[in-house]
Amino acid sequence: MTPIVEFEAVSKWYGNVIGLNHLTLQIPAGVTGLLGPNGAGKSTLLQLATGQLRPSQGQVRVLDQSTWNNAALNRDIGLCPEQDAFYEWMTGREFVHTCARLSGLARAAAGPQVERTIELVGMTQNADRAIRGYSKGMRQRIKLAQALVHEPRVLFLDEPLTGTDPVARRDLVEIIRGLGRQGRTVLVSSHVLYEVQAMTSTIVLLNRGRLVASGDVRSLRDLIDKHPHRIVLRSARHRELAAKLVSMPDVLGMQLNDAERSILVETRVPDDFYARLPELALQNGTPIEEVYSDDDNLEAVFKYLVNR
Amino acid sequence: MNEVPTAQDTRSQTPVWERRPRGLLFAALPSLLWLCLKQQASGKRLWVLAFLFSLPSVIAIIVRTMHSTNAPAENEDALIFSLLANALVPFAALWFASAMIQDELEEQTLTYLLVRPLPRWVIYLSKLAATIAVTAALSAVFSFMAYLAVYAGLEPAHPEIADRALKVAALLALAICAYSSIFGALSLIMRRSLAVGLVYIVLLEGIVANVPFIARKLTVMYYVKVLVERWVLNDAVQDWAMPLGELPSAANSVLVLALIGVAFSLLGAILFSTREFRMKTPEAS
Amino acid sequence: MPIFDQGYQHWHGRLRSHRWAWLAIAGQGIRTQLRHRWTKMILSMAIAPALSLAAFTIIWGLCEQKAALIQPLLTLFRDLPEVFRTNPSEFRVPVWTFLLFFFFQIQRFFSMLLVLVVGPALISQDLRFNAVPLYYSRPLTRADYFLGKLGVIAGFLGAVTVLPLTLAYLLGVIFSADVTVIRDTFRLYMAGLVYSAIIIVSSGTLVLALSSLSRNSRYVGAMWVAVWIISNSLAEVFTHTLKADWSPVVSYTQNLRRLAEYLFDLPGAADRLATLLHRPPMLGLNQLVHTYPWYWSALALAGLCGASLWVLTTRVQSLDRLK
Repeated sequence: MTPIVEFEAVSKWYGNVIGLNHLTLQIPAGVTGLLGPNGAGKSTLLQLATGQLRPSQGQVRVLDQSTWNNAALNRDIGLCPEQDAFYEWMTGREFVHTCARLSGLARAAAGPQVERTIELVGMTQNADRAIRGYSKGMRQRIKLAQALVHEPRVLFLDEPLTGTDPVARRDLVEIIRGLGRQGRTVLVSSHVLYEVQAMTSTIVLLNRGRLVASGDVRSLRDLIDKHPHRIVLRSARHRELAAKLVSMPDVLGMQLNDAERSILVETRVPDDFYARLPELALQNGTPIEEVYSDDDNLEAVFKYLVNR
Repeated sequence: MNEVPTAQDTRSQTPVWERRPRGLLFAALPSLLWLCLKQQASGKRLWVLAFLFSLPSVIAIIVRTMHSTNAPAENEDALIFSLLANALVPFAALWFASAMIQDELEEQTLTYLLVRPLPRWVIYLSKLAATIAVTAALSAVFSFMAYLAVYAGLEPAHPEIADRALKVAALLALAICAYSSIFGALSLIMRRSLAVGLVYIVLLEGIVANVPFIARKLTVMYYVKVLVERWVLNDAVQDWAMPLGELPSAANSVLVLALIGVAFSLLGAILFSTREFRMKTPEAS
Repeated sequence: MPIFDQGYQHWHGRLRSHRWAWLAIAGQGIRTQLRHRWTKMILSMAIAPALSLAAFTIIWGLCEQKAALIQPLLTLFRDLPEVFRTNPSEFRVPVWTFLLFFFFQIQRFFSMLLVLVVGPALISQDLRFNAVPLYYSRPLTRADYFLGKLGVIAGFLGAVTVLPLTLAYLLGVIFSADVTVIRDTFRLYMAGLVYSAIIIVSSGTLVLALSSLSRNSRYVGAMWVAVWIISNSLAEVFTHTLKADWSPVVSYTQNLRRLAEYLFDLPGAADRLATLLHRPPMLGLNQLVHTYPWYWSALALAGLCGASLWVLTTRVQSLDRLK
């Protein structure tokens, strides 16, 4: 897959502080989640990708063009910044309209495009109020609208869901997924792991300025050897089930929970383990009521990779 | 909310982003200029400055009401050439020009301009143009008012005053161009540009410009005073220790002021184009 | 061995008296401002006049002692009157007066510059980042808050006025080796302290009031510049146009200067000098002294302080009335 955003051995430092450390990364089309704890370098990465900062070393390319001081590239880039900053004296419509015109849309085209974008983010009713009177969720929607109004090919969204209510969050997640389906490249930075998981399974994980992992969440999970997979089984006869499980060679460890009648199994080959479960469930005396993975998710990947 | 619209325009199968023209976005320039003008012209700052710029007119009215024995030319010298040109204009230029980028940086709205397909030098020069336009308009309006306050209704009438007022407005606009370009560039070099600019105004423009020494030729105020003597007052000597025989011509003075404006504007544009503006996000803080 | 709990441990100490709460705010503000390069630069530049004052007081002390160390220097000034060589202590009061007066003239400029650098952000940044509730949610009153902020100004201005004044006075007394120096010059030292207090209180309350008017510290800085520079220009304009005696009252710094003339009794020192030298007052000295009553300036500054306090109490409300 042709990378849309490329970081080639990029380092960025501010005085003695390293923001990004020898980062090499390729981001394909579609939605990619950018994760990392505070101070990991996510905002630095986004500011480098949008040409606001110049890399101290290495090259940053978007759509095969260098990003630094490349105004023409900004036609195809949209940024929803993290900071809650606006021209507060403008109305929402004026703000999006100004951004549309600054992006090069002609007057005739800007009007309808602004209306479409405002409707897309669900701000039609409140578009003519001054931004200073908006709630946090409204501000996020308008911020997203200004990033979308010129229909960029590549979108960088820095914490787009911050402060939004659950309904708005669901709507915005759906918009982002729709953008990915259209073939656009969307890089979403967020702390809220389950929301990123709702948008995409492709992630980039940063920690202390370094790239920790990138790729599909499940593939990454499989690669984490240090932490065996944890699978929870519930059964009315959990101890008898446990006695059968302990004889399996790929079961590394077990914890019994009498209160919940469950067993937490640790295994390095979850697929093989899952394959054996139907047979086990059919055997007399060990019905299995529930099976779920305790850590086959983004949160676990994040925790294992960042806290190691 | 509607379904996400497709990127393809209904008129054509080509994605919208591929049909936009390349080259300088002339369509964006009027919006950029309008935005910069609105930013400079809105807020309490303009009202404070309008109040300060109205002081020469107010004082002139007070002086005339109190039947002062001053000749109008003395009042003109004190209120227009000294207070307005020597103090208020440099201060206004310093305040507006030092804030034009720094304010956007502090408010963190500069991001919205930097991620648009506009060359950085265009952004900077648009902001500078808006700054100069607003301060020059302010000084022109209030210099006219000051002349009215000093000369209106006097017997004998002074018909040349209208011409003089126009020349002073033009002269102040030229001075504002020079000052604004200097302070705009200064604001990109150091954060405390207000304090440094103040020291520059007090020491260089306030003291050095008035000392009959070659160093005064490095100041904007020297050329402003030359233009006052040569152009506004038609080679009439003022009490500024500036004998006419030693002064450059009006044309040369205009050229020098214009060159200062152009040189520092270019410097500012280059600095703005090459400098990084790191937005401190709540997460990064 | 017992296993100790590593969790939260309740603090059992005693809280300090509320009387000193403002000191915590002042200390924090001073430490914050001292991190800035410009503050350190201006403080460094203000050292030169302080060192000069100390040097002059030492030299004068040695003069009064007729110390052999100073004689080569005196030979450079051949035109000095004989009474100066035989009885220099007669000139003690005028010399000290002029030294302190001109020292404060210079330090007033650095004080204004320090206030410009340190003052605008004191309240405006608290308003901008909504930090005022952080103060008022503690057992702090508004008075503590204002005193603390004023303490930041007082700390810096005191460093360029009170501190060098005290050090120079001590050095001058020590090097004079004469107890009567204290009798003759203690009044001048107290005048210096009072004048420093006037500068601190007037400029401190004014800049805090301006700082409470805007969330943008740059605007506050510009307003401070307007008060300092533009008011001075206005006073000159009034002098030239209205030719009124009260014209200097319009200028903030001229008011401070007028009070300095009164507190240090500059006219008295000039007259004393003229008497000792048996000649008219020194050329240009008349231009140094204003003729309008000192209490006009005192009233103007008091009015400014009062207006500043009113603005402060209106703009910075208590917690339940914050927006």
